[in-house]
Amino acid sequence: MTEPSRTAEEPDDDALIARWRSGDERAATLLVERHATPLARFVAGLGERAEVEEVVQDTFVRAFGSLDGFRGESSLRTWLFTIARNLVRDRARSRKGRRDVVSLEEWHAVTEHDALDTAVADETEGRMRRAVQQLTPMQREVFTLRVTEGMSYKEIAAVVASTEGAARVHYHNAMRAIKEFLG
Amino acid sequence: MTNCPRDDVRDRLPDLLNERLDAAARAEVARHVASCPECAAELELLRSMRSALAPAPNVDVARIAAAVAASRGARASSPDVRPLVPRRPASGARRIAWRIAAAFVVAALGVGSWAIMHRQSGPDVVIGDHFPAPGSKPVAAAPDFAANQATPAHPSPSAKPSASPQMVASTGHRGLVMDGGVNDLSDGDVRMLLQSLDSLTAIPDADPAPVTYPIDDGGGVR
Repeated sequence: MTEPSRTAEEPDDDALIARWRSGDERAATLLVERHATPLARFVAGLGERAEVEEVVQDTFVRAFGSLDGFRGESSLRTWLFTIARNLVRDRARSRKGRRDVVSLEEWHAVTEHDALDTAVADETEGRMRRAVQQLTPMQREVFTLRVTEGMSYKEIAAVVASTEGAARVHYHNAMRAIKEFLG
Repeated sequence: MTNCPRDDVRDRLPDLLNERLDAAARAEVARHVASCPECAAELELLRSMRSALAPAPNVDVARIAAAVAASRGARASSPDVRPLVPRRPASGARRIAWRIAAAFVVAALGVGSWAIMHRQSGPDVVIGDHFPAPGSKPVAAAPDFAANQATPAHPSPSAKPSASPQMVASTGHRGLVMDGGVNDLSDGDVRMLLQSLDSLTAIPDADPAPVTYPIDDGGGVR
């Protein structure tokens, strides 16, 4: 398995982290540019639609704030997704504590009436999205990370705090459920 | 549902889609997909799903990068001081209470030592309160009790006890009088008492067990 494609001129994450540690602020900008959009997509997929940018920003601030303790045992990308996932969960719990709209069990349930859905003009894409929405939360996370972000089972297991085997099972169960939904 | 028995290939379809396979693996998976309609259909479904899920909300990368830089600056300018562990409010008061209790114990020991020394070298120490037990021979142990030496062993009915009866903490007809003040101590005793107080550092883990002395009807201690 290979890392996501990147041009030869682009420094990898480790090199950018080293540059940032040595005081190069531009390295942080490059890392943000590289990972912000996938993170935003992931966060939105978890149901955090209204404050996606805030969550993404908080993710980067926290990650860079503790970058000195980052030993590179997992990739920066995996680490960022893990932080983002925890932030979304914390927000869901907080909202639940305030008796807000979203319950913990539905912390990344996406309503059919949300703004992004209405923006999806194509009916086929709408059905695809609904097929994902009817998955269990864990299936949805695993499927999104596997298909949309191209993560390996090992990376997914790190993000969702599970095992590679469990991640594989969740992916195949999700795939079967989607096929059944789409008929 | 798919009937393709090549689970290993199906498992790698997302990797093929996201170009995360090395050349050899990519060739193997692509070869199988080309000959397996079910896996080809699943790959197409995955491609459509990724396309449908791909749109992401716009985020202001410059603003996020600025926030990261600002947080770094804030960390650099803030002193590296570990947050203090909040102290329990009751802790200080408890410590003071224990010190006071310890001081009383030491004071009692000091007075006791002084009394024992004087008993061995001089007359008996007055035991009990201002109204000694019958048959006892009251001898003043401290200046405060000088007046009591004249008190008869059996006070007359008209004799009025002290307004505030003094507590007895002695044994038999000889023992300690606990109502003596620190002022009653000699310079040496005071010095010894102060040294004992200075050496107090430990805080006991539990309340000291109460000490009781049986006191007979006559005011003495059995």
